[in-house]
Amino acid sequence: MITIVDYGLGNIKAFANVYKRLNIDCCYAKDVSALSRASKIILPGVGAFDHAMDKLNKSGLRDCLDELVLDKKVPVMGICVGMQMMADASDEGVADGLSWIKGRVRRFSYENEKIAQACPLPHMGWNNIQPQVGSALLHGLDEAKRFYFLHSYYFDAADAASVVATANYGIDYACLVNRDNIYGIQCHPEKSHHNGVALLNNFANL
Amino acid sequence: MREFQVCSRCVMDTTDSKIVFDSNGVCDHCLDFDQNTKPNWHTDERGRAQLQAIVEKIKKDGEGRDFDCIMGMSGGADSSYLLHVAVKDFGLRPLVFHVDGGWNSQIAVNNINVMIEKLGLDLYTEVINWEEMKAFQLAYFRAGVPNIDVPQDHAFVATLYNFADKYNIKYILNGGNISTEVVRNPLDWLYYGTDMRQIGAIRKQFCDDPLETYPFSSVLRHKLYLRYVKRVQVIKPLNYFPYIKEEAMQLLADEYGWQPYPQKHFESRFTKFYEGYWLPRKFGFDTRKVQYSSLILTEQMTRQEALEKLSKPAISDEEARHDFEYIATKLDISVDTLQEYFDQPNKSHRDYPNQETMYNIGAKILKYIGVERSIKR
Repeated sequence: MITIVDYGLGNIKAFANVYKRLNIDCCYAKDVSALSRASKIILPGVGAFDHAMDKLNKSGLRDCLDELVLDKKVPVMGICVGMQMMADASDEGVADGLSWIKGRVRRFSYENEKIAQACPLPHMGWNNIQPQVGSALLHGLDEAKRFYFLHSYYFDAADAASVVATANYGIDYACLVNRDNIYGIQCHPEKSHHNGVALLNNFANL
Repeated sequence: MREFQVCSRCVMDTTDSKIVFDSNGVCDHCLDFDQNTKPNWHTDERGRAQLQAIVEKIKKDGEGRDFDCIMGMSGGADSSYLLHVAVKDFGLRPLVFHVDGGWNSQIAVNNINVMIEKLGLDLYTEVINWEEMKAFQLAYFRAGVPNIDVPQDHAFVATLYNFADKYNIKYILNGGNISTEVVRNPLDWLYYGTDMRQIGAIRKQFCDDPLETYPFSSVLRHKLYLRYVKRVQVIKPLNYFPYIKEEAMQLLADEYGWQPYPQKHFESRFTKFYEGYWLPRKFGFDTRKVQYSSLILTEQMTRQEALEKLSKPAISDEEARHDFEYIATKLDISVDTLQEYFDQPNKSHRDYPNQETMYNIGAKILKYIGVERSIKR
């Protein structure tokens, strides 16, 4: 069953609502026994990187999560800060990330004054994503692959091969990353209506 | 045709077709303020004590819950200051809710972000389906009525009420206030955005999208059912103490890095275009007259200052041209098509089926029982 990690962060009900509408079973996992039954995992996240890592580390779910994702290869999708947590570290804090996909989370920063003015932080609103490689997650989306974003930091992947799609906000940056069974998405599928529903459905059908 | 006349006390004039003047040339907005609003508006110790009692009740009812109330945040001055007061002065724990209709200005985004970060709060964002918003807004352009901002307004109101209802939140904090809004926009200018009969008629005739996810809420549901059956209360804290807009904006700038913007409601790119260009140039309705008149009555602006500001357009011709292009592009129509909408004959909300009579009766009842002090007309 699709299992949403409930470590006290993120609007987890929003994901459950989408899956309910799609008639796909999903549940929340607050403890190891619930999490260990997961066949797919959604790792949500909002707020600051360190706070999110701290909450996850103290949730008692961390070891089980690492085992499921790294050893048992259960598909996982990190969303927004949940995606950023999959990196090694973040400019936003000092905590170690999960190191599931090599890379560092960086703050948008522009030397060009004009671009800086045109791209205030946070990046909030609709933006198109540009697929870089084919991915089952992107099947059935509108031609204009518009998603909803709300963030000031982005995932700077160490290995270009892990970048599935990019978005442009003053710079091109990775908004969808993937390594093996691990997926991370910067935008909010749960707020992106048709395209978001399609993407969450695709994840369920992986 | 009626001779043009400006109120001798505020700056409302005969572009408000129902305005009446007394023998001294003072308009009914001013007289309504003197007779009905001012005597019942207490921003002294009495108001503060009333608010304190309400706050205690909110806190008590919210014990053991993640949030004790909910408030919408647009990034504008009223909601930003309300958030500051609610958290810092009264120790409330609001769920801060932002509805993104797709038209946030950069300043709005900055203001929401700096306040949320500094106050250490979470932001709940509800995003309206952009394709639907676009189709709904285009329907209003095609209908030719003045209030083309209904698709955004309705979504903001409906989403907040729907959320409060769904999660059983009993208190909604609202930034609405007498200090800057005592003079109401005439109905001819900004007709009710919650009139479902009118919305239905305009959708049927002009909207090619079924609007499957767009949030609707009828006025009967949120003003009667939610308020009196589900006991969801709307509190307007800014009416219980002195709210001086200039001072509030300065405090927000100093304390949070909040950015002022040139005119009320300009935190939305669409509303800026609509109130700054479309409404005054196509219909001759300038909402600044309403805003400045409120500030004159509550002694935050002189009539002379207001008249000087009104002698210049809200947005310059060059900015208007730029905005015209921006709006057309974002709505996926050509500039020529938008110009066609602009040039087509002006319609009124009365040209389409509506529930104005029901609203008028409701407004009279609310005034009679003391819930509303002044009547929108």
